[in-house]
Amino acid sequence: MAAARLTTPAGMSRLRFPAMGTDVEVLIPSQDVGAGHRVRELFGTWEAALSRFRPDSELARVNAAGGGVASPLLAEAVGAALLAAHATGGVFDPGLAVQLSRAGYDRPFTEMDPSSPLPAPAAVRPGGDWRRVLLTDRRLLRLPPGMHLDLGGIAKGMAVDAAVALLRRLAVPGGIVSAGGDLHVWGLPPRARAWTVDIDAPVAVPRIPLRRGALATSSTLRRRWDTADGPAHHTIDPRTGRPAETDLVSASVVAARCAEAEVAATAAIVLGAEDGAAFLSARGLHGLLVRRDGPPVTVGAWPARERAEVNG
Amino acid sequence: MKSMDEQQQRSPRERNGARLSRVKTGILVASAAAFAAIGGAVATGGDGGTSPAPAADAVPRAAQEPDAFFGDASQEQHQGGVFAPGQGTQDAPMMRSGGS
Repeated sequence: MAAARLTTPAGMSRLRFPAMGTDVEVLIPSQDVGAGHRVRELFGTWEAALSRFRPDSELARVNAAGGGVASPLLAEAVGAALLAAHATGGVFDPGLAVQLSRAGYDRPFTEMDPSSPLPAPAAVRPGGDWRRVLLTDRRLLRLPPGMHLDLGGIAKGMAVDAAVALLRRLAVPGGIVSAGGDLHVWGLPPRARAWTVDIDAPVAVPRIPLRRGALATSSTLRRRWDTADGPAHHTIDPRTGRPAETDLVSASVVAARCAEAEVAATAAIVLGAEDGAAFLSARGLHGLLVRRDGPPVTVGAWPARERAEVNG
Repeated sequence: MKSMDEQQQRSPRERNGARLSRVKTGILVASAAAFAAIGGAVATGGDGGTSPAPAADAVPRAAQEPDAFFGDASQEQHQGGVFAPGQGTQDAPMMRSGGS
């Protein structure tokens, strides 16, 4: 399905750059472009610390060593990931890097060849080892044997939130920061009632008018590859240690912060449509769950009416 | 200790951030949820690798776990009107979610 062309409101500018394994976009007033470049620096800092694939990253060193004294940034990210794991009852699990690598995602996705089948994944163990991670008040971090952290999704969401906080501190009145489609808005666009956002989905879904907060979409249709055992994707089910077998192809969630939205979207994918909807509803989150078969499921105040012109 | 008024003046997001901050600094006033999130590690030094909870058992509890992460920031959103009034819009899109 062809995607609609994005529009940049008059008086605003759009910055694009690659970071954290995805494309970052910043939509801000044109007079604040200088502040936008500070966002690029911020993402560079987060990537240098938290990338799973950069051998010189702090996370890579900690994973290799089984721990160490974490920088404030790494400690903040790990602390948030552990809170998220607890808040989802372990459905979101930051300790699945080994399982993800064994499923085939062992290098930046841009370096993978999705059309060339990988061998069947090696035997893996389920998740849950996040409960044995040690993080002390002095930022001493210790990982259980054999467990590596993957902070990819939540770190991306946290970086988006941090970028918005930075821009607000710099008195930028409004805009959008997006990392691979996980985004956070503040203020309002000129002469408009909301920020309009398209949801990337294989079926017709409403274009949404977002006034505040963050939106994240997790999908099994992206970052997908073939193996001798069949298709695989990047969302690991901690119960099996393998790519989640789910009736959802995507989950979009609106929450106060991008990190929350990203975690909730990932949890919904793992849980599936019925349990995922209950999970979001219990937390007062708004969501759109797109099933492989059947109409999409909306949760909370998600705009339900399909517009006449869908995704272009 | 902050007065009740002071606490009520703090936004849900500030309270959430404070909760996380307490976890990171290991002060024992951390909520039970936050405390459990790190397996007691901050206060006790950690169990060092004994008896992890099976992930398969963890999932069905998801809807009942206390929320140290989502907290009440989501309620802030819910009450504040996160979407513009009405339904889906036909205005041109300014951003796309889910593209990668």
